[in-house]
Amino acid sequence: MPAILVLDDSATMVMSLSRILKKAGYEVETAADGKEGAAKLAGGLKPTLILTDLNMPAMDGIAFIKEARRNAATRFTPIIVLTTESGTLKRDEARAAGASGWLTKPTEPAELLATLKQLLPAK
Amino acid sequence: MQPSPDHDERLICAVLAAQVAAIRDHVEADATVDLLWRIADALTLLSGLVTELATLHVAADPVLEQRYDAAVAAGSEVSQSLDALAFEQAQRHDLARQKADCVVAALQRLAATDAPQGSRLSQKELAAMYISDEHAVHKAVARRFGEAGASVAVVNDGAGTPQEGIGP
Repeated sequence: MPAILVLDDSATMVMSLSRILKKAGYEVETAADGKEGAAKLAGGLKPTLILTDLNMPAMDGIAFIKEARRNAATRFTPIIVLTTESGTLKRDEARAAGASGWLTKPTEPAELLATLKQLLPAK
Repeated sequence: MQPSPDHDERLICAVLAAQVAAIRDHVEADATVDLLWRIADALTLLSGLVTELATLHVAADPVLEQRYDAAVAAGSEVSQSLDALAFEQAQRHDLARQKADCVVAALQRLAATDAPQGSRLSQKELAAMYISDEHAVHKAVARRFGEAGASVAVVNDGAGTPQEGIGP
């Protein structure tokens, strides 16, 4: 079963995303910010895909993506940014850091799951 | 001794920051998302119960079987819609919270007492705090102040999509 690491500083968003992903058959790990997410990766967590917010305390999404790309275990793991940011400059920054996909909030569960499916490695 | 106008303005900004922070906290404490999840879970529970009961009684009654199928399909559809609505609501709360955070941060900067008047927050610094469509709001307000050309520029991102940006 593919495992997804979800990073968001909003507890409601984390719970909402977890519900949708679990109902779609994914295992879910969560983190409240980039620092916690990076610590989980450093601790040996190897998610199949990462879904991250951008604006988070402690370590933001861009810094987290750079950190994840420095980690040999997640160098090529798909990372989707799910954010309220709608500017193309931020999007370019995320892409340069190593993001694989981008979704702007609000999005729909169907769009989220379709994007995940596109980026998850084929079985 | 009368407080200076500068002191009054800083106090007003501090009060407004606290007021907006309170509004943000109200938005965060909203129980709508939780209620939608609970209704969706209750529907799933009821659907399961109906399925269990149906295994005992439905097979002998074609009319009941038809009603069972319709009820389970409707329950599943409504449950999915509730989850989608909860997800949308959670994202809207998140957006409102972050926009409010931006206003609170800006007002707190204006209320800061350790910076001289006029140097506490520039338009550029304010724009750097934006997370979404606040650039468009900023531009509209600047226009009303007759500053559109001087302070708000349209930045082209190279992909043909004009993006609001705040000029120097």
